[in-house]
Amino acid sequence: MVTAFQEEPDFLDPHRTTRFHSLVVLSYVTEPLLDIDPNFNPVPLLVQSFEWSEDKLTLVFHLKRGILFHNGQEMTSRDVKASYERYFRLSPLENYLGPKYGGITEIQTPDDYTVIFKFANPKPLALFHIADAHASIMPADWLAGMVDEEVGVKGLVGTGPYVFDRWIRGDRIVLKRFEAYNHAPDYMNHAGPAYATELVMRIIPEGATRLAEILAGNIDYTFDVPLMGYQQIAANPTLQVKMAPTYSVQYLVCNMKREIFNDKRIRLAIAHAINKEEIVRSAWFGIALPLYGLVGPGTTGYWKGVEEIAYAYDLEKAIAYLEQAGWTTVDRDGVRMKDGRRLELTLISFSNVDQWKAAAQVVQTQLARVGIKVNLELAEVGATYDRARAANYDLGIFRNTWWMGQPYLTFLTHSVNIGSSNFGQWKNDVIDTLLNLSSNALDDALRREAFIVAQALVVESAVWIPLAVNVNVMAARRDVGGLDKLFSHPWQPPLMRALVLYKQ
Amino acid sequence: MLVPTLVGVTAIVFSLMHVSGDPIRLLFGPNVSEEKVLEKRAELGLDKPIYVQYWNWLSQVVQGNLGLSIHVQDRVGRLILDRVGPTLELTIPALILTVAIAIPAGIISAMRPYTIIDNVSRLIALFWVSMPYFWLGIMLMMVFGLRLRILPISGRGGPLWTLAGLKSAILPVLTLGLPPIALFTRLTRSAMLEVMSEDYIRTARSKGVRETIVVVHHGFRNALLPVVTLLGLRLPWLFGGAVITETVFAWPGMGRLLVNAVMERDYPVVQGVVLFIAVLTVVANLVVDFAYVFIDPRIRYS
Repeated sequence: MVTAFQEEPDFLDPHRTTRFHSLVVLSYVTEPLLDIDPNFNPVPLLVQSFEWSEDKLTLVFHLKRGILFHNGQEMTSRDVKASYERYFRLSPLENYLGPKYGGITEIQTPDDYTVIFKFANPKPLALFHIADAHASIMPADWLAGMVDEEVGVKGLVGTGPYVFDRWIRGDRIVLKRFEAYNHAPDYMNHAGPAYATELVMRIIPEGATRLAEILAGNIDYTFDVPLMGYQQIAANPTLQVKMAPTYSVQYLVCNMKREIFNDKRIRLAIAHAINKEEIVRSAWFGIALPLYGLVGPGTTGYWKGVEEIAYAYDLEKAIAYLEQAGWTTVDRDGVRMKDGRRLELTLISFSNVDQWKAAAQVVQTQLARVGIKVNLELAEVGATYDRARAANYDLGIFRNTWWMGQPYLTFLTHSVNIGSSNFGQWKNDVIDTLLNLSSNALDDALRREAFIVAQALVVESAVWIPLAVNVNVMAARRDVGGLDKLFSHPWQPPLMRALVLYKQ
Repeated sequence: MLVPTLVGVTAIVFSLMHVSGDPIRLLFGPNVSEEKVLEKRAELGLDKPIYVQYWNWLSQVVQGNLGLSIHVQDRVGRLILDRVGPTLELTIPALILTVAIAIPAGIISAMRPYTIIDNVSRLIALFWVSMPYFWLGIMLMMVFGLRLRILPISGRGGPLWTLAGLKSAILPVLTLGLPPIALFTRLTRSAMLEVMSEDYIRTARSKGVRETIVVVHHGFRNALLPVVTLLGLRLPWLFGGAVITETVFAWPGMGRLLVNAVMERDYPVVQGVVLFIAVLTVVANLVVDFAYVFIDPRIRYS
């Protein structure tokens, strides 16, 4: 099987990487203890079963027996302990399970097949975090013989359906089938081993080149489909295309450190002036979906009710809000004025992705319709993030990607993240409290309810204005099977790609 | 001059790289807390003043260590060595192609100025130079890779001495080698026209020397100086790679390594590549200077 990647992974160490493409490759090679099924439930992957204590401070895992690492060694509780200790020590994303965050303070291994996690405080979302591919298990002895920086650079050993073979940087990554793999979760209906004997992941950064390779039939399947070539691929009888919303979302944000946005009517005017459908059509060629809340439909905890409460496109309302706020006169350029000041805002975003650039241009046009002049200041990722963290902008278009709704919404909107990922630069005590509850409340219903209300308040605030949710587009040759099965899962996880796709 | 040049170039690049963008933020992405970012920054010494960071880097380099990439966590020296081979597989054949076509075409044009041969040669040269590398690459790919299916569309099939490697290099080599033909043709033509009107050429002809010898020995050798200068200027490019062509053809060369490192603010890699190219530039200039002596024995360096 040959697949194509737009972006090259940085390094293949589950405990240290934060890159999406690294995680995709890693998910073929290394595995966490649990997996997430199509209904967003954590299910056993490397474990036979697990149980919580009454007080939710002890979590016991019974490991599956006979699970082999790629080096032939059997996985035991020692490997789990060593992997978790390394994960807590190194992972930049680990901010929930570890001892520093009041999570697992002790890992006991009473025998080879039992692991006991002792928590300092109850962590109701622990199972989701344990199912995260970053918390993958690697052999303790192998890890002990490696310097941290060498893992995923010099080699990689896991329990996954493919064995890491070689990586020619800038060109390809080659994985070989692990013949002993036999423990895929039940929902996949295929325990293993994988169907394809070899998986070649080619790095093809240029969209036009990827498109030519897909059309020529040199790529068996890819999720990195260049959107500008979608029609050509869809019309090609030798290819098949599948689509599903993903958890990658784009949003417009108002910088609340700018005085003008303290008047909610301005934010409401902007929210009503934005036509999401038009943005999806123009910037994403129609291959995306309008987004109504900040948490997308492919994310755990998504609340469909946001579709009802989101501010609808309504130019009259937008204009009315601006006039109520005192922006009543219009200069000869059509820009609204108040006390001799023009309603002129800067919008920052990334220049390196065509869709973001185009989305910024459409937002500029849409806001001009109500008399708001937007000056685009697009730059590459590093420079844009610098400005965002320094709060040096009025409006911004950003993107974020994570399948776990609660930590994701916390990153974007909780006040502890002002200066890092809360680009609204806004502290709202109610939202903070709700997010804390949605993370820590022991009562499942209360936790869910808190997360729903948090999503509603974020939309209602109009500080963050959701724009579009990306659609996962998969192009594959006609002789590639298993696509329907793969798309029965909301985010087509890489482990499932490894196990259900086959060539006829 | 080698040492001050290298220190100057690397110091300027190092300073410019620090103007904007945080390598740790770019490495970690947006969903990582400030605390973790600060920890990592301290671990890599990025919390120190720029001049201290530069001094630390320079001290390492003097000991033969180019450091560790922030972004891909591999040795910078190894990353450069892995990429320089594939780049040379493209740039050397491309340069040979350019010279092999441009110099004869320039000489022929000069020998038959303003004839149909000269006009056709100029037209063809203009045709290639008018094409952006990106567009030419895509067109070649579409015709030979997608339509005719006789050559691979992209990727490096292997080392150049293997059939797969050779086939995969043809389109990128053409993309790199064809556009500069115009420049070399025009330069050769004008240099030849100038030389061929010199008195010593008339003398040689009047002595009955064969026209081929007049053109090649007396004419071309004297017209070679500007061509060699231009070739010398292109030598660093041989190692620096060709970003656009490498990107279009998904070729794992130096150009892509450098651009990715700049985008990720991977200081050690950028510094390593810049140092590598700077050394080669200085060496290339030295080679050109020696070539002058060889071509024109009147030139002597004390």
